[in-house]
Amino acid sequence: MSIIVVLIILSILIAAGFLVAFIWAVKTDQYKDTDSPAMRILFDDPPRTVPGDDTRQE
Amino acid sequence: MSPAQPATVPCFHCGLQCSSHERIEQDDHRFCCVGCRTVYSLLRGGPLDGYYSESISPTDRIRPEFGDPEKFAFLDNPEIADRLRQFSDGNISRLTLSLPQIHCASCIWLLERAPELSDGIQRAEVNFPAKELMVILDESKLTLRGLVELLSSLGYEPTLRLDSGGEQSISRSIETGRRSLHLKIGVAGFVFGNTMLLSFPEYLTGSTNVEPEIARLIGVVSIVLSLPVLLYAGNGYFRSAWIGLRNRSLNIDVPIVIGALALFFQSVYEILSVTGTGYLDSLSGLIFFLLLGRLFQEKTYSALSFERDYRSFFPLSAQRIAAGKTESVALDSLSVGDRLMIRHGELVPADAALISGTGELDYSFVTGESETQHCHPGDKVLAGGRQCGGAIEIELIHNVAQSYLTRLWSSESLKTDQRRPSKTLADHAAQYFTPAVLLIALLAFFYWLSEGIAVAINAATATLIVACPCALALTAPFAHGAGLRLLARAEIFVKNAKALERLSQITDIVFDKTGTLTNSVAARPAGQQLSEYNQTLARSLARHSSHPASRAVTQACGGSVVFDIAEFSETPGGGISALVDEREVRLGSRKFVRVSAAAPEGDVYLSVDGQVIGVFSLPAELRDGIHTTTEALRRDYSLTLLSGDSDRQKELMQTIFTGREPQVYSVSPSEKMEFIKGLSESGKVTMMVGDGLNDAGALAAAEIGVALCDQQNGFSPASDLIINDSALTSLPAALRFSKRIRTVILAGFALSLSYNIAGLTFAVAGELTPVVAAILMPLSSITVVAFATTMVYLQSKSSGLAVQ
Repeated sequence: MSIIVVLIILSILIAAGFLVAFIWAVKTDQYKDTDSPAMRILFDDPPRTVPGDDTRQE
Repeated sequence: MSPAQPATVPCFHCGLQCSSHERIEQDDHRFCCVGCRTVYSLLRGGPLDGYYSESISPTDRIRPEFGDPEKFAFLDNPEIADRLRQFSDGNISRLTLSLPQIHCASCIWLLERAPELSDGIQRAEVNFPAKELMVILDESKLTLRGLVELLSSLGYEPTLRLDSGGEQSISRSIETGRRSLHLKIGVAGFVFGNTMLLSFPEYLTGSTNVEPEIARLIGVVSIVLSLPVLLYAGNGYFRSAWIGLRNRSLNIDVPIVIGALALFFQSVYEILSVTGTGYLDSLSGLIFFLLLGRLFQEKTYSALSFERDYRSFFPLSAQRIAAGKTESVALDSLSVGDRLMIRHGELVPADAALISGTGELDYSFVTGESETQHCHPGDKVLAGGRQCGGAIEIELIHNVAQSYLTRLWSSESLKTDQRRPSKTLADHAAQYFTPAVLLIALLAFFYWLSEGIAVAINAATATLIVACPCALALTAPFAHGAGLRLLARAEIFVKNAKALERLSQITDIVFDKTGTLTNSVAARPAGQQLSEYNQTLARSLARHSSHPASRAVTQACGGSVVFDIAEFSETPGGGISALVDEREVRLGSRKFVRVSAAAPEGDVYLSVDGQVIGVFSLPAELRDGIHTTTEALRRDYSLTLLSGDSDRQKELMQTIFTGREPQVYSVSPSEKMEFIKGLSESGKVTMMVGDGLNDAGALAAAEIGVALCDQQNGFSPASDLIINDSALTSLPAALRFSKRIRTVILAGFALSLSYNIAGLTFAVAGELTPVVAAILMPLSSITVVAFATTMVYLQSKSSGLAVQ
């Protein structure tokens, strides 16, 4: 049952990793504007000009 | 196939109609202007070809303004350019530009692909709700000026506010505040989740079944985790409570801090003395939900207040001079480069250059200083300045920022309402509220002590947290905010919330006659027609004044030739005079023009070099719907008519006023003020409806001054309401609405009070845990805000307000 000590420490470390990621995201202003990204995903990519690739069959 | 070309061809870029006489085309496409063709050639054939694909409809594309190539020359000045940059390491700079033209997804698409248009633009990112573009610029490849010019040619001319550096730093501090709130929520959430997880053994099996070493470890880890919550995430509350206590006043954060500290120390004691497991999960949960509530509140505030600024516009118009003609144009149709005529008493709507005339500008509106500034042609005149003297011609060098004008108008109230202390309602409530809550918590603590200290602490902390006066503080601002917005949409512009509150207390309404109840129509000469020369004299003088009588005379003596004038002076309640073509010309009342008793009857007299040469009558035409309006108002208010004109139109006025309502004529401006002061002294709350410029004194004396703007560009700061002539008939509905708002606010107070009573009952009875209390608190705030806003919207419909 003393394995739980190891488990507790491990889980806290993992959670702390996520917290660090969150802090980094906030500090790089990723939460500043939450409306534009929703629109950005709908934009088409610029048309590819490399010939031949489009005819490839999957 | 039709043989002929369609008569109107839409522009390939923006979709508007192309002109039929000028053919502007490229690559077989027609364009409506050179600007659109330029954008096309910039985008076509390049990587941004996709702009013309199906997915972006022409109506979404912006129409670029084609302007003066030297317009942005001032950006070459390193000092000015520096103020725009947020960060620079010599070559690479970062800046944020405000582009109010951003309105849809295509804008984001186009602007974020700016790097493909120029090597110097390394990155471009749109912040859609704020309508801003963040650019990382390599200035060795593209200068700041080049960037701004490129954006302008695409149709997105940035609004550069260089002199309000304070504004940029304010928005930046809001940004960092918001960011730190996000961080605190993150930390608090992290700790909350983990301490709850660690408390699972206790939840699931009861504290007796856990092995003592493991329980010890869990406890210690919980304490260590809770420290960042207490010291970092919650520190805002601690700081605020400390500041309050230092100033000997208990604010709303004090109970929260006491509760949090109680939870923490109780838990530490329990864990270290192995008597229990403490409440550290409740503590971090408490802080977490409090911070979350604050975030929601801030987002709601900013959404609601942004709308207000965005929609702040006045029904004012300016006299635009184009192609030799002068026409009245609404302020929001003006653009940079327009030439305007600013008459005596009118405001300069946006920063401009003085082209001709002698500028005597009163900037008291902006700076508070009433000493006029003398300006010569070529000097710059700033927005908000009022011209005192003859008319001047200006050319706008800036677009009209009506939010700026609104701010000037409402900040004026800060000077005039000095008597009200600036304590918010929340702090007032805290004076009584907080001691009462502390007392109740203490009583609950002692009451429950017999059941054990844990239960007692639980009850006391829940009591401290569930009591929330913040709902009391939120009802009024949100109700007023919604009310002001709705009234603005109905074309009634109220200065601020205090004015809206006073509106609901009105008992008497005083009307001015000319220009308010009556339409401005061209004057009719009584007696013989004036000679061409005399008409020119009259016209040259009258055009400098915006008084309804002057405008009527200008209309009557039509023509395009005008003389230059000197020594213009306008006497309120009297008339205007100046030297025209080296003669002394006077236009005004009988007394002002020094008319002998023998002269014929009239409303306005004209004299040249002391000799009366003309008499005009001002035919009065009642505004549409006035009769219904006065009928409706009569039911709840006492009406009075105070007119500076003679009683020649007595019969006409009697059609809208009853015999019991005083109708006084030939009143001087100071007599008007005295009359209104008299009403105030007898305890009545008066609303004066008049001309923004000429009734300034009376408007200031009344508790509410309503300035009716009809083709004018001037209002006195004393006016609390600005309305269009068409909105006059909405006055009864607006007054009804203001009363209903007051009711909504009282209902909101009642709601918040009943919430508090219910919450406290449960908390004192020990039925509420601190975490649940922490959830209820922001919930109550949000409910009250939703209630206030929705009720106000509903009331606007039921009071008959004609909202656009």
